[in-house]
Amino acid sequence: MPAGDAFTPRQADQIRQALASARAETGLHFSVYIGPAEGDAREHATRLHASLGAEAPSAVLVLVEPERRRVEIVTGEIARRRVDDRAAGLASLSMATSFAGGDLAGGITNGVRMMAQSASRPRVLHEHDAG
Amino acid sequence: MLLATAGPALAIGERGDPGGHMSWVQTLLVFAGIPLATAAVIAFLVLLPSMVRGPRYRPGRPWTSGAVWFGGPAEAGGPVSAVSAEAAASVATIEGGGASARW
Repeated sequence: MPAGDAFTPRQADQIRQALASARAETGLHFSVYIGPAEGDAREHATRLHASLGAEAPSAVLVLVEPERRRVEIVTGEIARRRVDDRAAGLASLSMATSFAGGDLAGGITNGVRMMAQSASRPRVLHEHDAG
Repeated sequence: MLLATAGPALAIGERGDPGGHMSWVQTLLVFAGIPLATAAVIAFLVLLPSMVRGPRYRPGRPWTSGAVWFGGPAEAGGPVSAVSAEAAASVATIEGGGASARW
């Protein structure tokens, strides 16, 4: 699929690379959609996430809607255990900050990297039992 | 200041031959052609980086670049908007999470 004219070939490569390395690090499927959303952005993101089919449970979908300035992150059932809502929230805020500065590609690659990092961090078991 | 810059021109009379008359074509070339060419070169050099970089996203401007989906099912072929009905139906079964933000 051509990357449209939103990104230079180099930026598109950077995004693909970030997605590929995130997948290699975590085993989760990372997917980024940039464009207009039909209807509610959250619902559209959920539909896109569901259309990933068998990969959906372990998939993290990022929807970026530049026109309405929204970013939505949808995590599947398995993906959510690795990228919890707090990590997704941090990533979405970081992306929104970059987007506000006009840097779409940089925000996407950074946000994906953040989520991959939090997903590959080993879980601390009984973290709350110690105290 | 004016006299200082005009000095060399005034000095021509003393030194001798000011040269023949310029034809109106030469006059036009020297006094209109050269400045216009200089301005064009500068404008080109200024615009060159953004022409190479292509269109850039600016917050608040309408989005005209269409949709791109990295890592989507369309990566294997097929249009982006082809969200199947059965996929849409399974939305309710997802026990996922996520987050959203605005800018």
